[in-house]
Amino acid sequence: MEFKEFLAELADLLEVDAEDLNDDYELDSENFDSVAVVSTIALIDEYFDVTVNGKSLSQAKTVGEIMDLIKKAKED
Amino acid sequence: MRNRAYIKDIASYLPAQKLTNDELIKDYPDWDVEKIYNKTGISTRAIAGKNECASDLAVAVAEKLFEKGICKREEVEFLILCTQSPDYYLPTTACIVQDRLKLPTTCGAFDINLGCSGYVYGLSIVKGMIESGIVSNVLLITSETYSKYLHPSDRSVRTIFGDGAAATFISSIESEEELIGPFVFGTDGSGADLLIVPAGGLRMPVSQETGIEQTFDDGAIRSPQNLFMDGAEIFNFTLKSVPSAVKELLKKSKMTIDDIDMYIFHQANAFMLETLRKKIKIPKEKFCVNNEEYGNTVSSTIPMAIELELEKNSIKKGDKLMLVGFGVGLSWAGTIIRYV
Repeated sequence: MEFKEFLAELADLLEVDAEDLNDDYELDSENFDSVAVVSTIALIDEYFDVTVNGKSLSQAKTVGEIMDLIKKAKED
Repeated sequence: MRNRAYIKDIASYLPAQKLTNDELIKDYPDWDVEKIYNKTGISTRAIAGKNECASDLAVAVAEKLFEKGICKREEVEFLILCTQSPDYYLPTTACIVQDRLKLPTTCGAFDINLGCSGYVYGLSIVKGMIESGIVSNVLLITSETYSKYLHPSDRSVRTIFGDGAAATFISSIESEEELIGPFVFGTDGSGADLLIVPAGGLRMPVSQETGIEQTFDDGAIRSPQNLFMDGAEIFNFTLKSVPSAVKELLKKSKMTIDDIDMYIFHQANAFMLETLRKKIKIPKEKFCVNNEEYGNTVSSTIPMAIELELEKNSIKKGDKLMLVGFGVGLSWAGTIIRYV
């Protein structure tokens, strides 16, 4: 449930439609710049109460990789 | 009933030269300055002149304070200057300020080297000195010229930081309850590299090499002589440290979130503040955000914010304010003050 809401807000942040956002959605330095990275950190903290390293996050190539970072942070 | 330290008056000073968002667009035309304003809440920052140093801002703000008429320079028994951009390694910049302000030579004076947590740390020292009977009247000045550390092509930090100074006169009054305090502190030196000017101190003295600029992935250009800030990791740090500091402080003072009338955090940027506000569940009307015309003036953001709120009449007698400073070091501190 929270994943769906999180993804909706992430789509908002990346300025795309929520339907277009899936694990394969590609991130680049244009749609995922330093402001977007910091906003994503805040979003992840709000929804999952974990912190994800900024550098790792900025190097994520797809939305799926962001979700992997969240899962890993939750396990730690 | 005993003698308690309390904040008697505050004044602030901004250098004349301003850097607006419109000017930033001129330097960085491909940059979305609108988006940055929406994230940071900043539209103008003051920038110290070429020959304007921390002591100059300190003298200017103290004179402004004395002009207000509530505090007199002859009353000052101790001067504490908080800065990370001192005029010299030595002598102490506070000593230079004492002389220029013509404070009594019986005055004590020293600098403290802290950034965004500096004001709250400063208050803790002053409270200790006053309530232990060492002195009765202390002038605490925060004065910063971070702009001198920034590379002109490092747009993210140029957007955030502004120069400025604040002077706070702390005096003594008979009171049943504590007027400044309790305090919580925090230090985590493992984050030293997250906000740093690597060269120019003695660890890495200035040399030809330290002046060599590098271009980074995000387009920023800087040399080791420039300030570096890892925005994302600093953000992570504040999300972890500030909510628990607030919790600890409320516990220590036996209060609840609702007992506090206003929360004045270090005014880093609007986005970070809003994220913290939501996380700690502080109501919007009790949460101070007013960095728009100043930017991040480091240790002066909190006293400047208090002054602004007083001008807006949003603080009344007896109000309890929670102040929390956090940042470079990594260092953080929180306290509760009562408006007298």
